[in-house]
Amino acid sequence: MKSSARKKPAVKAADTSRLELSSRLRIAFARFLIVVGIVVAWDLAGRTFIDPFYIGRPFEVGERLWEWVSTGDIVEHVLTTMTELVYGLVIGVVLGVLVALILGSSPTLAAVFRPFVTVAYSFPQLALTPLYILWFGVFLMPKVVLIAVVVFFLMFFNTFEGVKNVEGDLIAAMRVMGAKRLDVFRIVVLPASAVFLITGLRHAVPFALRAAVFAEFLASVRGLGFLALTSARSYSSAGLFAALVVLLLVGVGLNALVSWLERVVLPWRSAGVDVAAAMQR
Amino acid sequence: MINITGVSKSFEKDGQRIDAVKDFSLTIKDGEFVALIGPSGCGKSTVLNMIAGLLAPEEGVVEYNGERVTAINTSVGYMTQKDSLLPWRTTEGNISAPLDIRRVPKSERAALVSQAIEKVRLGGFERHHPDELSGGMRKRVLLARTLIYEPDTLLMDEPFAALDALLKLVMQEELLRIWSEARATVVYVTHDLTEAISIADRIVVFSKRPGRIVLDLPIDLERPRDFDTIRSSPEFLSLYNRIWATLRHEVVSQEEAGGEGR
Repeated sequence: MKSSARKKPAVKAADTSRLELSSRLRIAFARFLIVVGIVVAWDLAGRTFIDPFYIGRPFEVGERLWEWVSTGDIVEHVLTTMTELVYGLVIGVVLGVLVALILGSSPTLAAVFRPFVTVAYSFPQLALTPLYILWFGVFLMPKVVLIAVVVFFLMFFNTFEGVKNVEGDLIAAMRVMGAKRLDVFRIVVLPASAVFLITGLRHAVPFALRAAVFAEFLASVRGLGFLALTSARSYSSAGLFAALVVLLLVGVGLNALVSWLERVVLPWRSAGVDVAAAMQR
Repeated sequence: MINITGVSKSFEKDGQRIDAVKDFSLTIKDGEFVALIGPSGCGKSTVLNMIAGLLAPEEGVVEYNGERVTAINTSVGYMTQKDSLLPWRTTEGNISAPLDIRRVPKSERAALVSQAIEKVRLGGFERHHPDELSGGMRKRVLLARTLIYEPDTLLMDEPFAALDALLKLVMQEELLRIWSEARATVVYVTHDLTEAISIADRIVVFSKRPGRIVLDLPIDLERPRDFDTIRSSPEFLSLYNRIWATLRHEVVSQEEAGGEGR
């Protein structure tokens, strides 16, 4: 038994970190080729059968991006959208997790409130955006509220289901060992909710970005959504695509941030272990 | 000493009331290794849950060391087939959970944990997480976690059922080795007759649902038992045949009644 090597969990398909250096280089190179291929195809399409008015030209888009960066014009838009995201995410995550923990550990409260949350969730949250604009104006506030609401529901359901799934075997085992309610909370529920926090964030972050852009489309004076919309309205496809590229980068960056957070908060999970499965085992 | 007197417990299933056990009585002496065996759904696990205080009987009394069990019974260690390790804790962290719950000072924990790890032979895997361990190793962690607070009674509900046949044998031997040192009372639920005869001092055969005792037999095979030879000995075979004759009848009539689940 002792001699058997440390058993490694199966490697996720997208996780290249365990591969040999040479094959990692080859994969990176292949990915690079695909990106180059897309840009070249884009450029060729614009030169041959599609009017660049509709799809822009990669070179012009790059030029526009460079212009935004070198003049610093892009900074205020990125900062605006990021500010909306940070406030909205923080408020939504904190409230969602908190309410889920409270309802998750009290079956009576859960029975009372759960249907209300479900009904509110069934409602398309984005449809309330005009109302938020009416109430809170066109600046930061309506976006923060919309993002917080969207994030709240995602975090709530993730954490609530998670807390409920942890109930049962793990908790019964702890109780036979003599654990009181508070011990169960401290030893099982709280660490488990770190897992739900991260899985919830994985879902919530892309939704938050969508909500931010959507609200900026409806009414705003700054932000990446505003930038994309005003470019389109002035028929500048280069500007529109440049704004979309920046949005893409913001999305990718936020995702990377969640992954980093996951490695910090859940170091035991970095091997690509499926936690949901592990907890229900 | 565990005294179960006239207990009944029923469950609601698909709108039907099902009696798991009815007017059931059983006495288990200190230090005894008792195997409860019977068809699936005959109420064996219900009895364990009542001793652990996780379930309350509708009628009758469960007494543990002369005191009536009305809440969670913290003098017992309970190990089920379910893997209830905390995925975010290492081997050490999981094994020390009961010490944490029992407010054992941190300074004393390390020594107890390393003792327990040695006992279940998990040296070298102290800092591994459950997902990095094999099925057998996880069982060892569970066993160590159950033993570390030295409960006077171990309740085991098919603890090794999920393991393959060979590993199961190894774990049974480990359990006997550890038990021979700790000398706790063990109540072991199984539906594997060979397993029951190999490890227990006494076998209690349950009827089909609602569970009654149809056979209560001492297993006076010599200890320590060598699994390699014991299973082919004539005493073993005659015990096996005798118990199987009773058990078979219960299993067959349970099947005909179409009862699954517990």
